[in-house]
Amino acid sequence: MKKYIYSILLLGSLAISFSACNKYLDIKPEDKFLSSQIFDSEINAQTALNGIYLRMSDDNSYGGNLMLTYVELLGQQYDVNSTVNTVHQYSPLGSYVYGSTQALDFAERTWTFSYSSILNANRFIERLGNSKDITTQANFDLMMGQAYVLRAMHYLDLLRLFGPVYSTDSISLSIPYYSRVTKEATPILPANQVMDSIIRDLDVAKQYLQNDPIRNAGPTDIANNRGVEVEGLYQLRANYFTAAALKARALLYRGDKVNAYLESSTLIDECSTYLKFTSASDLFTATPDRIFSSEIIFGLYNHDISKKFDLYFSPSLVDERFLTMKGELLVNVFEGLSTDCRLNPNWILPTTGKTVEAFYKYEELVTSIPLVRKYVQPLIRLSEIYLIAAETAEDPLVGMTYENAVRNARGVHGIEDPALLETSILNEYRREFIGEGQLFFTYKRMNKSSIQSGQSGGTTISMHPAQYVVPLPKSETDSRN
Amino acid sequence: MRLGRQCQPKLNHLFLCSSLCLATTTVVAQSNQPKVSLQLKNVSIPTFLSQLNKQVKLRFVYNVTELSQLPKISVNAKSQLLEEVLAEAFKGVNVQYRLANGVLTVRSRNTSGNNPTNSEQAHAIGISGTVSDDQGQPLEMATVRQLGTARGTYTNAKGEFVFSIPEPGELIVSYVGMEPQRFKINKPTNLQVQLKPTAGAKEVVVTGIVSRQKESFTGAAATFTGDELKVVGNNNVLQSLKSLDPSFVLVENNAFGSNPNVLPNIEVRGTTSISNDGLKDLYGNDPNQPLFILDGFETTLRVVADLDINRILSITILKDAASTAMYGAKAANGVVVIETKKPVPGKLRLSYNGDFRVEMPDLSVYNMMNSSEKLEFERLAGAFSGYSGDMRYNKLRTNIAEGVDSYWLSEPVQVGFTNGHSIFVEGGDEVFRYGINLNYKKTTGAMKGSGRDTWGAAINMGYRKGKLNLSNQLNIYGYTANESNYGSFSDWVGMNPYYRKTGFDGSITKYVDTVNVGSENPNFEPQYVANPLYNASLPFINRSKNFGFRNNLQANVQLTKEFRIDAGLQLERENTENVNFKSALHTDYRNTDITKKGSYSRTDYNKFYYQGFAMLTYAKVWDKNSLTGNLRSTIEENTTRTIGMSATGFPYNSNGNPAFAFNYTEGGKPSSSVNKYRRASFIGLLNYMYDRRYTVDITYRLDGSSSFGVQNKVLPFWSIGAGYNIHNEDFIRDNYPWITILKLRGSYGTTANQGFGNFSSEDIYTYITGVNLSGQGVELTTIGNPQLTWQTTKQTNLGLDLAILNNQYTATVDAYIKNTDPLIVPITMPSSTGIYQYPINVGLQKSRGVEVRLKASPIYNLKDRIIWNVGIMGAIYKARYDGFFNTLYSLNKEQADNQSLQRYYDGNSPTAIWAVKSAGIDPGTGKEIYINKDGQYTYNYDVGEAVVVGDSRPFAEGTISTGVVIKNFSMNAIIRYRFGGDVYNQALLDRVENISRIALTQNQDKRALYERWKKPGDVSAYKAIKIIRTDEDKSYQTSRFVQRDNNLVGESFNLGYELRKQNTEFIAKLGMQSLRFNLYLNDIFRLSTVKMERGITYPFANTVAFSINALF
Repeated sequence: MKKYIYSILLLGSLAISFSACNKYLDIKPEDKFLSSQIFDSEINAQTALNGIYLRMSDDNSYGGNLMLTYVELLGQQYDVNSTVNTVHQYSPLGSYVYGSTQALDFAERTWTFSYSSILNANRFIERLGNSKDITTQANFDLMMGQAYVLRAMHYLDLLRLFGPVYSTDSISLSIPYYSRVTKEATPILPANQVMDSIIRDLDVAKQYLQNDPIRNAGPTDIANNRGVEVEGLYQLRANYFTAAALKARALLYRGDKVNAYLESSTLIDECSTYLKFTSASDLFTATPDRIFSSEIIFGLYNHDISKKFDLYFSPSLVDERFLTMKGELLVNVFEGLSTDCRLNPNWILPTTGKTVEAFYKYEELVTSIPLVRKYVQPLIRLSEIYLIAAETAEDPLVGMTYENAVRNARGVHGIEDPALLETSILNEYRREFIGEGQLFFTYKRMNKSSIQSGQSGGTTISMHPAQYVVPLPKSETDSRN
Repeated sequence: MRLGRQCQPKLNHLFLCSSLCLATTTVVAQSNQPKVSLQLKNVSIPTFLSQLNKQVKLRFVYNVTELSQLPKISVNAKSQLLEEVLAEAFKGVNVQYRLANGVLTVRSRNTSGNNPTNSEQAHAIGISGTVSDDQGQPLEMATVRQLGTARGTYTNAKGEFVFSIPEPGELIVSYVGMEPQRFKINKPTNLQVQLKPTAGAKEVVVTGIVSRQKESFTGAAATFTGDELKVVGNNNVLQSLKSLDPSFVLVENNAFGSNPNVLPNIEVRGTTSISNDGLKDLYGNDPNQPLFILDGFETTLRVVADLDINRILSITILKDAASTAMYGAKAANGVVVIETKKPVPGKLRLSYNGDFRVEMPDLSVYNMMNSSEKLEFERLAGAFSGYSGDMRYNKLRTNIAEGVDSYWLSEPVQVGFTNGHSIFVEGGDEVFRYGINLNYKKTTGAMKGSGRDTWGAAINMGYRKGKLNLSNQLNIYGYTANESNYGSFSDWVGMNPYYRKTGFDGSITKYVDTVNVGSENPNFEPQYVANPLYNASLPFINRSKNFGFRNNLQANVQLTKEFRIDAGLQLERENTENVNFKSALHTDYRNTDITKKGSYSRTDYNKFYYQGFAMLTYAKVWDKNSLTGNLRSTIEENTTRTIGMSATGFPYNSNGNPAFAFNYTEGGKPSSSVNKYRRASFIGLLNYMYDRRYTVDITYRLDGSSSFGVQNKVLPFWSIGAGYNIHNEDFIRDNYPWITILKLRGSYGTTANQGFGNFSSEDIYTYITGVNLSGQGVELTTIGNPQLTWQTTKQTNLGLDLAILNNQYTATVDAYIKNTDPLIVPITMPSSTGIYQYPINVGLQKSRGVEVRLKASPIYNLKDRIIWNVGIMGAIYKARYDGFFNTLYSLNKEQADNQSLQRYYDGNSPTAIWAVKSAGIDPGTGKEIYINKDGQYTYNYDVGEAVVVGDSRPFAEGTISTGVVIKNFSMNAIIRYRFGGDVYNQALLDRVENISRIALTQNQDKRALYERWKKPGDVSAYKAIKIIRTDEDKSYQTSRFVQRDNNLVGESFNLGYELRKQNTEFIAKLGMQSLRFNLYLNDIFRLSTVKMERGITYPFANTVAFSINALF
C-alpha cells in the first residue's frame, strides 16, 4: 500500500507542476517589449507613437534625406557639380544618375526606412484600435489622428519621390500602399489610387483631430519656451492643422486647385489667430530664430539637428562633403534682395574655412538658456499654406495678396503684376524651404522642363520625366516575384 | 561493481531468471535453516514458492508451467523450519525437491526423460568445479546449465558447484555481465572456469536521463570510454570523438585552421536546418550543432571543448529518435552525453596525468611567389608603365639584386607548446565516497601570442545509506584565451617578398612602401603598405577571460523493490569578459583624427542557469517479462546578460587602460542585452523486454518553452523503437554458438531543433536611441508570426548489431531517414512591407544515410597479451530540399547577387555548389567560355545561368584504424578517408586570377605567374595575366574552380608503453600501481587531390603529443 501512496503523491506533484508550467513559461523579455505590454496602458502606447516621431528624426527620414540632403540635392539646392579639384561625394545626385552608388543608396535607405515607419504606424493603428479601453476617448482620438497624419505624410513624400510626374501621368504605377501590417507584398498601385488613399487618411485624421486642443487653446510660443512646461507645444506633434496643411499640399500635388484653395484658405483663416509670421526682428538677436518658429505648423523635436549642420553644412568640412550654394547663385535665388531676412542670418560668409557662404539654419544656437527651439526642425510651415493659397486662388489678385503676405513678412516688397505671380511663387519655394525639402517636388509638380542648376553661374538643367522619377530600389523590385 | 558503474544492481537478476525460465530471488545466501511462517489455502505450487520466496533468502529453481499443472496445496506454518514446511506442503503431491548450496530445486516427479530419476542419477556423469572472474575472484550464483535442457545449478559463495548430467552433452556456464563459456562433457570432470566480462553487458547506454542495458535498448547509440578517447589523442574530447564514430563530423574550418580559441562546427548525421546568418542568435550558435549533456545536464560546446579529457568516463552519441526523443525540442541534431568519472570506493588512490603537445605550423600549403617571381608577374601585368613605373621597377630590381627575398610567412608562427596536468584523488567506502580533481592546461598556439589557458577543479562526493543515495559534484572552471597580436595570417601571406622586413639599421619601419594604385583608391591616395611586423610590435589585447561554477546535486531513494525516486538540481553561473584593444599607433589609423586613434572595447557576458528534475522509476521483472518505466518532469531557466562599451582616442604610449581614452566611440552607447528562456518538460519512458528476445521502447515528451510561439507553447515529441535479440533465440545459441550478438533494431519518432533563433509569435518593440520632448520611444523590431511552427525532424532508423566469436569480430550498421518538415527559412520580403528577413515555415529537407562500423581482432591472445585489431568505419549521407516551389525566389536572387555558391531549389542538396558551367579558357583568345543552361557556349557571364556543379559533402567519409598490443607495448593508427566531395577553390580565384591594382600590392599564388594563358594556342587552366579594372576583366564563380577533393589524413598515430607493479620492480618501489607513456602524432599528413591554400586567417598545424599517466 505504501508504494502506491508514494507513487500517487509523486504523480500528483508532477501533474501540479505541469499545470503550473504554463505560468512558469510565461516570461516577458527584459530588454524589449512584447506588443501586449506596449498596448496595455496609455503611457506605454504613447512610447510606440513617440517611436514614430523619433524615427522621423533619423538621417534616413525627415532628419536627413527627406528634408536636408537627398531631395534637396535633387532640387539643385546645393552646388555639387562645380567643385574644383575634388569630385563632390554627391555629384551623381546633382546630375540625376540614379544608377550611381550614391543615388541607389539614398533611394534604398529612404524607401526602406519610410516603409518601416509606415509599418510602425500601421501596427499602432491596428493595436490601439483594439485597445480602446486603455485610454480616454479624447486621447484615443488624438493618438489615432496623429498616426494617420504621419502615415499619410510618409506616403505623400514617397509618392512625390518615387511616383510619376502626377500632373501629366497619374495612372502609372507608383508605389505600394499598405493600410495594415501584412506579410505579403501588396501590389504596386497607380499614382492616383495612392493619392486617393492619402487624402482618405488625412480626412480620417482630421475627423479624429477635430477636437485637437490646438484649435482652441492654440499653440504656445516655441520661440521662447525653455522646455520646462512643454504640455501645450502642439506644433511639435502632428495636429489638426498638420492634417489640413498636408491635405492642401496633397490636393495641390494632385492638381485639384479648387479644393486645395478651399483647404488652404480655410486653414489660414483658422490658424492665423494662433500662428503668426516670425518678425524680422527675431532674427537679429543673439539667438536668432532661424527656423521661424512662430509659424511652424508641424515641427520635429530633433535632438540631433545641430549635428546635421556639422555633418553637411559646416565650413570646416572638406569640399567634397560640404553642401552650400555659391554666392552668385545665392544672389540670383534671392533676386538680389539683401533685405530678405531668410538670407541673413542663415547664409553667412564664414570667417575661416571657406570662401563661399555657408548655410547656418541648423547651426547649434549658442545660448545658456535651454531653449526648445534649439532642437526644432520645421516640417510644415504657415508660409507654404500661403503659397498654396496664392497658387490656387481663382483670382490672381487674391493669389497675389497671399504671395505678398509672405514676401512682406520676409522683409521684401510685394509684387504688383499678377503675371509675375507664378514665377514669384516658384522663387519663393526656392528661398523659403532650403533644407526643408519642398523644391524638387514643386518642380516635379509643375513638370518644369528646365530648372535652375545648383551649379554657380546661372546655368539651367533641362528636365524630363526620367529625371523626376526615382526608380524603385532593388530591395523592393528584386523580392517581387 | 563488476557490472560497470552505471548498471543498476536492481536489474541484475533479470538475466538469470528469464533465460532459464526460472523464478529467482534475492542474491544473499543463507547458511542456517530459516524459519518460515506461512498460511496458504488451495494455491498452486508456484504461488506457494513465490510466497516462500519472500521469507527465505534462497535461490529457487523450478519450472512454472510444469508445477502449475500439479494439484493445489495448502500450508499452515508458524515459525517452522523450512525443511518441515516443505515436507508438509509437498506431502501427497508428486513433487521431488532438493535443498543444497542455498538452492532449492523443485520438480514434478511425473515428468520423465529430462528429469533425472534416482536410477538415472546412478549413470549420470558428475561434474564439479569452480567459477571465477578474470581476476580470479570466485563468482557466487553463476549458472551452470546443460545445453538444450532446463537442467541447471548455481555456484556457492566460494564459486563451487556440483552437478551431473545423464548423458554426454554440452555445459554452459554463465554469469550476469560475463561472457558465457561452453564445455563438452563426456566423462566426470572437474572444471576450473574463468569468465570474462562481456562487451554486451558492460555496455550500458547512458542517455543522460536514464541508463539502459544495451540489450534492451532499441536506439542507435555509440558509447566510447575515456580510455578509447585517450588512445586517439590527448588534445580534446571532440577531436578524439570524430575519429571514433562515423556520424560525428567536425566540419573542417578552412578559415581558422588550428586556432585553439575557435570552436569547431559539429554535425551528427548531417544537418537539419538552413544555416543562415539571419537565423543565428547573438552568440552565433550553429543551428546544426548537437545537444551536449554533461553529467545529466545540458552544457555548451565551449565547456565540452575545454573539458579535461582525463576526466571522461564515457561519451555516448545518441543519434536516432528512439534515443533522442527524450530530449525533445533540442534533439534534432543528435545528443552527445558525457559522463565524468565518479569516485570509486576503496583506499585512497592518486593518479596523475601529464599531457604535452607540440604544434608545428604547416606552411607547405601556401604556394606563394618569391621576390623575383612577383616582380616579373607585376611587370607582365603592366604595373610599371610610364616613367615613374620604370623608376619603381628598377628600384625593386635593385632590392632583389641585393638579395631581398623576405619570407613573411614564418614571422607570425611558432612551434606551439602545450602542457596539461591533471590530478585525481579518490577513495572512501560504500557509505561515503569522495573524489577530487584538479586540472590545468596551458596551450600555446601556432601563431605567436595566441594561446589558451584552461583550468578546473572538481569535488565529487557520494553518500549511500540504506535506501538513500546522495551525490554532489562541484565544478569550478575557467579559461583565458588570447588571440595573436600578429593579426590575421592572410596579412602575412599577402606580404610582397621584395620588401625588407626591417630598415637598413635593423629597425622595424612603419610602412614598407607607398604604391600609386590610381583610380582604384577613391581618394586617389597612394596605397600605404604597412609593415605587419610594426603593427605586431604594438600593444595589443584580444582576450577573453572566463570563470564558471557548476554544482550538481542528485539524490535517489529506493522506495520499494519496484519504485525509485530520483531528483536533481543543477546550478551554473558563468562570467566571461572580452577585451579588445588596438594601439593608436596602428597603421589602420593613418587617416584618423587624433581623438579617434586607437580603440578599446569590452563586453561582459554572464550566464545563470538552473535545472531541477524529479523522476519516478518503476522496474519489475516477472516470469519472462521485464518492464521499466520512468516519469520525469524538469524545469530549467537560462538567463544571459551582456553589457558592453567601447572607447576611442588613446595616447600613443597607451597599453590599453580605458581610463586614458579620449572619448566613447562616436555615437556609441553602452550595449546591453538580456536573454532569458525557461523550459518545462515532462517525460514518460517505457522499456519492455520479453524473454530477452523482444524489446520495445516508447518515449513521450511534452516540451514547453518560453521561446515557442504563444499558440504552441507546449509541443509533444515521441518515439517508438523495437528490437529483436536474435542471439538469445535457442536455435542460435544451440546451433551457432559462435554468434555472440545478433540484434535487429528499428525506431521511428520526432524531435525538434530549438537550438537557434528566438522567434516570437508576438511583435517585439525595442527602445530607439534618442529622445524628444515626450521622452523615449519604441519601435517594432520583430513582427511576430503566430503561425510559425517549430522545425520538426522525423527520423526512421534501422540497425543491426553483430558480434561473433566472443566479440572478436563486430559490426554495427545503421541506416536512417531523417526528414525535417517544415524548415524555418527567413525570407526576404519586398522592403515596402517593412519586414526584414521574416521567418516562415517552408519546404523540407530529406536526409538519408548509412553508417557502418566494423572491427576485427584477428589476434586476440589475452593470456600473453598479444592483440591485434583492425577497424573501418564510414558514413554515407545524402540530403535534398523539397517543397520550396518558388517561395525562395528572392532568397535565391540574393544569394546570386552576393556571389554565394548556395541556392535553395527543390531536389537539390543543401551542400550543392552552384556556379556557372565553364568550358575552360579559350586557347585562341585566353577568355573564359561559359556554358549556359541550354548547353550554349558564350563569352558572357550571367549569374542566372548557375547550375549545380558539385557538392561539398563527400560521398563517404570515415576512418581506417588498426591497433596492436604486445605485452606492455601498444600501437594505434587512425587514417581518415574522404572521397566524392567537391571543393570550391576560392584561393584560385582570389590569388591567381582576380588580381586588381590594389591586390598587386600583395603577394600572389605562383600559379598566377606560371600557369596562366600567354599566347594564342596555349591550353591553360587560367586566364591571361591582366590587372582587373572593370567587371568585364573579372573572373567569376564558375565550375572551373570546383575541384574534386578526395583526401587521406593521418589523423592519429599513437605509441604506448605501460609498466605495472606486478611486473616491474621499480614501479613498485616508487609506490605506484602503474605507469603509462603515450606518444601521439596528430594530423601528421594530408594527401589531397586538391592543391589548396588552407588556413586563411590561422595556419593549420601538425601535432606531436606525449602523455604520461601514473597511478598510485
